[in-house]
Amino acid sequence: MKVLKVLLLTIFIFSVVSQAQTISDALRVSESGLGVGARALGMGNAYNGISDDASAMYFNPAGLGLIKRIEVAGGLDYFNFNNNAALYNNKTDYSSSATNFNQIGFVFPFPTLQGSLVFGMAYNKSKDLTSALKFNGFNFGSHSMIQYLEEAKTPIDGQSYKNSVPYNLFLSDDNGNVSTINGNLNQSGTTLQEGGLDSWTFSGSMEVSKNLYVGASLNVNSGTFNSNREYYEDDSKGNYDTTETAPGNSFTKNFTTFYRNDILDWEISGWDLKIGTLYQLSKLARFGATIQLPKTYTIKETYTFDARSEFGSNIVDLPSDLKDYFSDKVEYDITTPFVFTGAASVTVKGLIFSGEATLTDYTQTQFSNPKGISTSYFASLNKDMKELLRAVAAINIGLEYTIPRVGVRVRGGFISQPSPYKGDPSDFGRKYLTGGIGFLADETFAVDVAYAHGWWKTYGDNYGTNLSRVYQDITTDKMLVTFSYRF
Amino acid sequence: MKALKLLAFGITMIAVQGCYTVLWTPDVAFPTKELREDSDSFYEEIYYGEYSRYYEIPWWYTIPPPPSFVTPVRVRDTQETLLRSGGTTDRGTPERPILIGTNPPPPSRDQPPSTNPPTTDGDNSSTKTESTTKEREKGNSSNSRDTRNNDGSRSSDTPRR
Repeated sequence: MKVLKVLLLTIFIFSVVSQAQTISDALRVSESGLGVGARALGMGNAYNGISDDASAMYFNPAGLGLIKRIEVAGGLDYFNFNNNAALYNNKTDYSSSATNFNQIGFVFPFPTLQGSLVFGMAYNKSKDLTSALKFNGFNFGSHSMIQYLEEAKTPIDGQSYKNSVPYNLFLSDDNGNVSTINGNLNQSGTTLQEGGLDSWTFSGSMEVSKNLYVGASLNVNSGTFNSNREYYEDDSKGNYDTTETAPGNSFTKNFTTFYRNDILDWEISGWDLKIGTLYQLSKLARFGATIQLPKTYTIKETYTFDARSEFGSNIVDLPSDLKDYFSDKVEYDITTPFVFTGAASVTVKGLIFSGEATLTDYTQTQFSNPKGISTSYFASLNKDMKELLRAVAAINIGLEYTIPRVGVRVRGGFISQPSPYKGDPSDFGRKYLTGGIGFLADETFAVDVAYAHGWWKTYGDNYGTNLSRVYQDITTDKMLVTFSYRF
Repeated sequence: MKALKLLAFGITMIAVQGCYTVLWTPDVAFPTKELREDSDSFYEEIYYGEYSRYYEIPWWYTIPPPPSFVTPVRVRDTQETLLRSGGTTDRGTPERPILIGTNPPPPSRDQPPSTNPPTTDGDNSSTKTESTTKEREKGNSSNSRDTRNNDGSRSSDTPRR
């Protein structure tokens, strides 16, 4: 039970004023995205055991060694994130979308007398961080964000209450106590997140023994992430029409709205290495294995806070020095865990079956090198991740059938990524159904189209633990087109 | 650091064991389909149609081998010998490819019979050939001018003389 409480405290997406780093931040860069390449996505990203095109640099660099012709590839994707959120049983639908270059790749196989030596480089958009949330519900309880800010007083521990947000917005008495507001407010808000993880990848693969390939990819990572959250508490039922929220200040008699805005900006950089091997068993099957070594992302974080209160036509803004006080710029590292993948694919008369399992132990995720953040806070956070996260095995399966006479391939797949949190039910795991089609013209120009539909559940607390909880049914849709030309 | 150690270990293992892959280098014949044993095809043509060729045929099978490797080196050397024997300094002129064409140079009507005398009265054909070759190898020998005169396509040299 204690663990559960800590879990609930830790995972809420919307933290108090401090916007301290959370486990969610670590998972944002640790959990894998939908990868690159339409053929791969169409087959449920069960591609470590196939990997015979430019996307091998992302999935299994050893597969590059299977490429025998010079290849230039590029891809474009459309991603839509839809969130059906419920606050106090009131549902609100909201969505956001993004269009990005998914992949630009170049592969060059060297002429060989025997075996294979292939190098490649690529830009890969490995993960889209687009998301959206909108909620709106009346809280009949005796709690609110305003009261929570007063109680939490984070990050102003040890400071005068005169630095607190409610006090400066005339929502507390002269002693800094929120004595007049007692819940019964309408709570609403939106959170829009955008950005992505990119990498410049340099890969090589060699056939070290007949039909046995070994490869590696060096990824130079970058990315951006922006989160813009707006939160409102409104006296929609007129409960505070005659109450002075700051006793002695008559203009506070008609409290109508409390508003806060949190903007989080990340600049992401780092590097990592992935090594892989692939063995082709005669004309029948391929077996692949990869090790993704821990990625270290350096996060340069800028956090901006603003708030205001409204009393009829009177608006009280947070003093600018307090905005600066609560806003900050910090820097730190997030190190992701090892990721191990085993894969196999089998071809039978034009039909390819492919499957793989990926083991990720999220308890190994770590925050480190804090600049502007206390070391003890990161130590506590790392301990929480050890206790609250778990190792999970993701499963990918895929199928592809080639219609030889018309040069068309059809494919389908399924992805299951269990939730990294201990105790989460299976419907909190991410699941995707995928499909795709591919065309080949003149034995040189290939076009592949893929579609993936994902769904899972999650929740977040606006403040406290299970006081103002937003339950979310998330669906995503991704369309990906990849063009490749082989010389 | 772990990553680098693992990479170093992998490279060392490959280096110790030796590698299966043999790269083509310019000093050996260009790899062609005839010279190479094909690897196992995951995409058999009967089931995958043109995708089989998309995946399985190396790009260097589909291009003509580089010109310098079409013609045996010895033949080119012989042609260069023929060229050099003329003593000209303009080997880079555009006329050169014509000069080293496979067809024999046209007979020159202005070649005086005395400029290429037999070395002995009783020469047989084999002796003549040997003598000519020796003189060509000398390059700027006293007979080089005669050789140039034999070459009808070197009219560009004429004005300078």
